[in-house]
Amino acid sequence: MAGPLHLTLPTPGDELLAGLDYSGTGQSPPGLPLDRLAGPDTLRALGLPLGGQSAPSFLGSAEAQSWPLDFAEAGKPRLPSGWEDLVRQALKKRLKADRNLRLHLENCQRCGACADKCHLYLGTGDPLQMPVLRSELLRAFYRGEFTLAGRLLGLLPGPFREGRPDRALLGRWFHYFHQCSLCRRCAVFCPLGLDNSEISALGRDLLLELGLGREGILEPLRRTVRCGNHAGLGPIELKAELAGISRHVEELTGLQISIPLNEPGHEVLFVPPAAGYLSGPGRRNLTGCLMLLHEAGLDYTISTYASGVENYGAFANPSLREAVGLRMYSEAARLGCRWILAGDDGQMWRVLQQCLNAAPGYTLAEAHGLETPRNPATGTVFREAAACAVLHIDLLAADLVARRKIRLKPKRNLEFTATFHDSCHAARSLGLLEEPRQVLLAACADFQEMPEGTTREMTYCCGAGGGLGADPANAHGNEAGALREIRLRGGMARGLALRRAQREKGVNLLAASCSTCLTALPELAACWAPGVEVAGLYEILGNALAMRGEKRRRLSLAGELLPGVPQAAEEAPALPPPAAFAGGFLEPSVLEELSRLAALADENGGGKS
Amino acid sequence: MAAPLLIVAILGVAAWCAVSPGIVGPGEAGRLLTGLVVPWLGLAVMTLGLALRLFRLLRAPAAGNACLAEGQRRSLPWVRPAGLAAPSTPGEARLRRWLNLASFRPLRRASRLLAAPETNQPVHYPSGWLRLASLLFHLSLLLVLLRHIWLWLAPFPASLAWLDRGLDCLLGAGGLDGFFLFNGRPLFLSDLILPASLLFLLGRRRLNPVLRRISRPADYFALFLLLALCGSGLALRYISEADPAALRAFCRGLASFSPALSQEGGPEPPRLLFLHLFFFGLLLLFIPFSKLGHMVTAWLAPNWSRPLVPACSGRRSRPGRRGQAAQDAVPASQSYAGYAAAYGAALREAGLPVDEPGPPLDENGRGTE
Repeated sequence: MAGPLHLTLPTPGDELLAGLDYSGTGQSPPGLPLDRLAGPDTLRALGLPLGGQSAPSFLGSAEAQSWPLDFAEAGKPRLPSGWEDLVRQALKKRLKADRNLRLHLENCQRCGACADKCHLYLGTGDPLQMPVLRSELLRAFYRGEFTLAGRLLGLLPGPFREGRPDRALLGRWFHYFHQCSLCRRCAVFCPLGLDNSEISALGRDLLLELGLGREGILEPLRRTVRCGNHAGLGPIELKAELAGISRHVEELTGLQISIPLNEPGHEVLFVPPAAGYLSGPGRRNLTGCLMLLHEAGLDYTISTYASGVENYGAFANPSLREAVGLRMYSEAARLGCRWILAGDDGQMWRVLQQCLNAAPGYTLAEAHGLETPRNPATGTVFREAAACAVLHIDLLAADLVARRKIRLKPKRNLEFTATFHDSCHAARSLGLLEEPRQVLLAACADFQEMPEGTTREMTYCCGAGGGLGADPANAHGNEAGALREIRLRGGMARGLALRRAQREKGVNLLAASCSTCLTALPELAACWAPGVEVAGLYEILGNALAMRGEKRRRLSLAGELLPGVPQAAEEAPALPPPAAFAGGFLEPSVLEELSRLAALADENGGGKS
Repeated sequence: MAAPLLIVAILGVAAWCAVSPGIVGPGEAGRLLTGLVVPWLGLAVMTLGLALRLFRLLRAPAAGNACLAEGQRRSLPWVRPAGLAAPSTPGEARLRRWLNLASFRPLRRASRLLAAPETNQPVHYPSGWLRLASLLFHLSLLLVLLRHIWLWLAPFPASLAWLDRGLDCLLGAGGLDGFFLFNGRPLFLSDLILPASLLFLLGRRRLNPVLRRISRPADYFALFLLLALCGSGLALRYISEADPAALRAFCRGLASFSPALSQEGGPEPPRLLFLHLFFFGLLLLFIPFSKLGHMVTAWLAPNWSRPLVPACSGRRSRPGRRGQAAQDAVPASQSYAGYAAAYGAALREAGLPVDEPGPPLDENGRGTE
């Protein structure tokens, strides 16, 4: 498909590399643009403070995408009067509520172990993207306002006073904390067990107290709050999408799979990544998931109320992230399910692991009357998931594969040499490293790792973590999506590792499980390692899955002929080839608009390149 | 870097002048200040400050479980777990935390970013220098501090003799310690390593441009203060002609608030001793207000303090305070009732079952049927 949907990416590779300066002495670039500020409607709908944003002054206009790094322009954005005090009070409250924040703020020795480990620093060369200096933006404020030494030094003139709350500091907070992908890679290197991502999240939270939030994060969050998934699909659209998936499976395999929706009395509540309802690799991944569940004979239902695992609250505000995270529990209890199966979306798992299920003497499973997940096909009881009663789908799949409850034909993936991209939080917050690899190895015989130090617990972000994948400018057909440059630069470390694997080991397929990664990786691969395809882990598994009673398959989930299938001249592919990229956050209206634009471009002779 | 160095130098010179007879009076007031007041004040401030700092931390709850997985978690029976890297019991978490703290294990991944010569790609080259220097610094600081016990225990108990003889073997010199002499006195390995590691950490901050960029004046101040403390101590031990017995007598007087500050009670205590005590007091004063407070707070390391898998009590319990708070955090707009109100018509149109708003939920979040 040509036209606006198709991203034509440069291969910046070596020019970009040559221009990067890691000496640490460079100046900060003028600030990569972020998208617009969230408008008052969004803030109000989420119950967030409006700050100075009650009047839609410059919000929503095109210029909003390039406002200055230091908020220096008068009145842009508007801040509530006495905002310095608001920030102070907000930080005080949070310090009282969580000891760890104070530790993160106080204990850094500036030893430099994390400084050059951040993918954003690697991709931009901007010293303020070093985790330690990014956090220093907030640590300096903390020292200047909350410690005796800092306050005393603050009485001295000029340079001794640190982190003075002014518009310039606030602007840096906004830009740098929103560019951090909260991926925790730097935490792996910290000799004191500190976590810069907690500071970035705290910074975003403090900004929200002033009504400063990214529309790209808060709008999907609003949709999640309203209709249960960040894509904004209501019950009718959801049912239609699932029917579409079911039809697709029938075309491929000749099997009718039923996908129960909102039905009480099933054993399992399945919460898929909502990006899977839309197009692109996420959709094919979800299709593969549903084929797997059908083949495993799992008694599940999907719910429209908790229809997406993506938790955009994790990018915004602790209470919102907890509220969003708890939806699936109340829904499982309402529908009388025994446990929950969830697809992979990194941040959601982190929220589950770190925030919801952390209080001693209380587990979510107990509070909602859920049971320890048990795979009925194999009898495996997942004791490690007993407390939260949510099972990661990789665990279920690995169990089914290892106990040979499903039959696989890896020959169907013969053309691929696959590698696996660990998502940040499946790796660093959950420690799920081997399970997806076992699944991938079973489904695609040729598996190669990317270079050491870029995978497993030291995996690099896909570039879209922390809410950077949500890019409204892109969704509106703007080819130069405001955040694309940040994503591609941030994805450089992953991209170079992929390129090395491509050159040295012949890798031509990048598999990932996380839905956010799956929306970002196609553009990353196109930019940094052209020629490598991106597919969800379950797309590959779905292709290899030999389902009971299926007809002889001709096409893969992506609509390509499977290896060894003769090309029938008269037969057109059952499906159009997949779109190169579609954001996983599009409202149906936007999707319609996009396809209209695409059609228009096709009429006009294939569109621009 | 200039300002912290200047401050330490000025303080040192001032203290030297204050204790030297004839510059500011007979020097007795200076000795009182540098040898008694500042160290004791420092000790009091440090104890109180660190206690307050710890209290302030411990008063707040440790919300959340930030456990960082550095490897494969315990999961399916045929998947080999990475053990301590992804602890699944509180005991394992504790072990990982103390191992990490005691041996600086995370720094085994320390590396330096350089452009690969041919491809110009950024590559992390492993580098163990930071781990080595930090380990050596902390270990030799501990040994040197312990060795000061000698000053206060008058018949030095035979059971502690190893302190003065063999403990330095830990540093790998295997019995050589005290074998070499410097200026006629046995040379301790830790006495060499302590300043060397400090100089390395300082040089690193100056010479590595990245480190230079992230260093703050307070970082240099701590290093210079430690170097000054270390330098005065070494000079006292290896260069000055001070009589160890006199030092001992003086320090015991210090402990009982009645040090012999002038010559009347015996030989004059060396000026270097006052300088040493003064820097020691300054360091203690500095600790609670700076990053050096990590000596009492590091063990709370957020990423290592809990196991990956929360304990499941196995019995149905009511949500605890935080659990309840989390439940209450769900606003009405997010409840199923709110959803059904907004999408009821759509749900019916799609032919999906809708729960009519039922009775209010009980404390377990279940319907009261």
